Amino acid sequence: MNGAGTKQPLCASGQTQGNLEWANNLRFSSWNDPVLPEPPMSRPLPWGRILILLLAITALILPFMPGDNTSMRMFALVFLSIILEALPFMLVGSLIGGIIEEFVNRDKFMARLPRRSLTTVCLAAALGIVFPVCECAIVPVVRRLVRKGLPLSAAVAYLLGGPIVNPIVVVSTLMAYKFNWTVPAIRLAAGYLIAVVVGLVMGRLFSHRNAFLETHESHVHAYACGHAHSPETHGRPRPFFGRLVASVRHASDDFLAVAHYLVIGAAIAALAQTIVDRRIFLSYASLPLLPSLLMVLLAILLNLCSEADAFIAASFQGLLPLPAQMAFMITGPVFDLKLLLMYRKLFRRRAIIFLAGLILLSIFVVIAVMELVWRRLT
Amino acid sequence: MKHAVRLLARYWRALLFGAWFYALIGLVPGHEYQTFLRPEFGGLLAVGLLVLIWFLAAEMTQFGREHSFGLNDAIHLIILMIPLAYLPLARGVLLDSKAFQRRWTGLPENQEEKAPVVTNTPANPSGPPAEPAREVTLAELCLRPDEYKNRRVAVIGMLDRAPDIKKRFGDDACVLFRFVITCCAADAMPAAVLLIGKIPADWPADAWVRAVGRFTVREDHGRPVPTLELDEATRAATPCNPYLY
Repeated sequence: MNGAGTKQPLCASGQTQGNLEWANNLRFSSWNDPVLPEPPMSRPLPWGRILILLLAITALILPFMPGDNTSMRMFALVFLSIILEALPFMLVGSLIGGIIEEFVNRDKFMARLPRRSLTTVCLAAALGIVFPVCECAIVPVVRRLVRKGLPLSAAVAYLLGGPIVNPIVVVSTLMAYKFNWTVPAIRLAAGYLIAVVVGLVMGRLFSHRNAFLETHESHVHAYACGHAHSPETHGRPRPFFGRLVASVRHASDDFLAVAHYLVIGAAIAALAQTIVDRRIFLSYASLPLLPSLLMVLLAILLNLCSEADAFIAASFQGLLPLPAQMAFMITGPVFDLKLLLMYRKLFRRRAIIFLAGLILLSIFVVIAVMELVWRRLT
Repeated sequence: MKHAVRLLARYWRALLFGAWFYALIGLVPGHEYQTFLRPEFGGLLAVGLLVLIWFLAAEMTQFGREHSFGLNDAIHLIILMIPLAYLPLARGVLLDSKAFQRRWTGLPENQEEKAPVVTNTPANPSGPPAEPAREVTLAELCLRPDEYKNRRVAVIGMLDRAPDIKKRFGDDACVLFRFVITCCAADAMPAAVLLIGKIPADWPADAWVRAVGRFTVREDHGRPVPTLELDEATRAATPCNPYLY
């Protein structure tokens, strides 16, 4: 909410350029509930953002500085590898989100959702099986599904379950572990369980409005009367091509909203890969729980794709116990740095803190149980 | 200044998508993207390029319209330009011996169980002449040590002369390694063998070497170490695809 409290009719005829600007700045407390923002007052300088801007400019000019930069070249290689690998998925995910926004009718979508929230959450957590989306692509898709009325608990369940409970991840894990079915089965089951539990708890703790950010469209559509809108709010049909163009513009909005988080996450991951020696993790292999916790940390830092992380985990076979490898494979798809940053475009800060805490807690519980079983079996 | 901001406000999104498109299309000829990604990802990159064209086209339908351009937009723009600034720096770069030392964790368990342990058999024992060497990759040696045990093989890889290797295995020891990529260079894992034999001292770390010798699996502190007892080693040209997949 922007604090004005005075609700205005959404569609005002005869808008001027100034009105367009006003409309652009509209924030929605809910889809049909726009609120007029306060007129801009004299505000203090946003020092935090200025600092970020300066840091970004420094990072931008750093590669042009003279000197021996072997480490910098290695950093650049890993940094760009992560970005180039994730970019197509993120672009396609944004496009899917844009198509959902333009072509999926909110009322029809809502009508098709199961009435019982538990069923919705259980289905949403397993949706990745028929609609596999990796973690880079899932945030834009979920943003649009939320706008179409997907409940919070189901949105969280899909957000966490989608990148782990999907056939591509099963196949890659199977290949990495030499067709040992136990490993992908445990990974799938643990990922599904975490997605369902965290989804249900988030649904209990937060309301839709408390959890999600108010959406804000940064542009005015060709067919609009000067404000952010959905086609169904106007009740008049639009030509297919117009909707297609609008869906691509929604997609580019979504992409720009989250892509910079990918860049920041990739930079941190590349830095970690350039500095961290993986053998450090082997020093604590015999201690209970610690290797698993270190592998959780490694997964958070490396920001690897859920389709590739099983191969890294498999490289620790014989060196670390299976629960530690599993900790790495469960954490990566649901919680890493770039995801945490991307969540900022979907959730409010408080919701992110709770979500992160719940995810880590549930991972910890799952790992602890696995360790107990593992120690009894071996 | 105001004019520049106004221009940026109108065109920054189109400029950004255009710059990204230009950078990515530049990676396609000569398969330059394979510096970062496995070859099959070329198709995915093409899909990404297609979506970028659509984004650019959709921006063009809005040319001339006023948009806001605030501090947040400036931050987004600069952050999204950072990867493009690093692109020239990363072109042609290979994961090297430093990356190998940071990523090498040893052999996976299932190979430990299967691999028979052979200790310090002298290379090319006197007797019949050596069998012809079979060309294999380091990944094949590490993944299927059983298949190549006591066979004469030829492998190509990069040299690592880490001091701790000499300490543990003697002055004649060094490591031949190569990276195996699953998706991209970030997830690349090293495949390596211990080389036992004379390697000229002036061959630097990261030099490409073709090594021929008998493949065995040694034991070190109860762990298997794939080893090549060297018959001959020659400097090799960088393979057209330096990574294994």
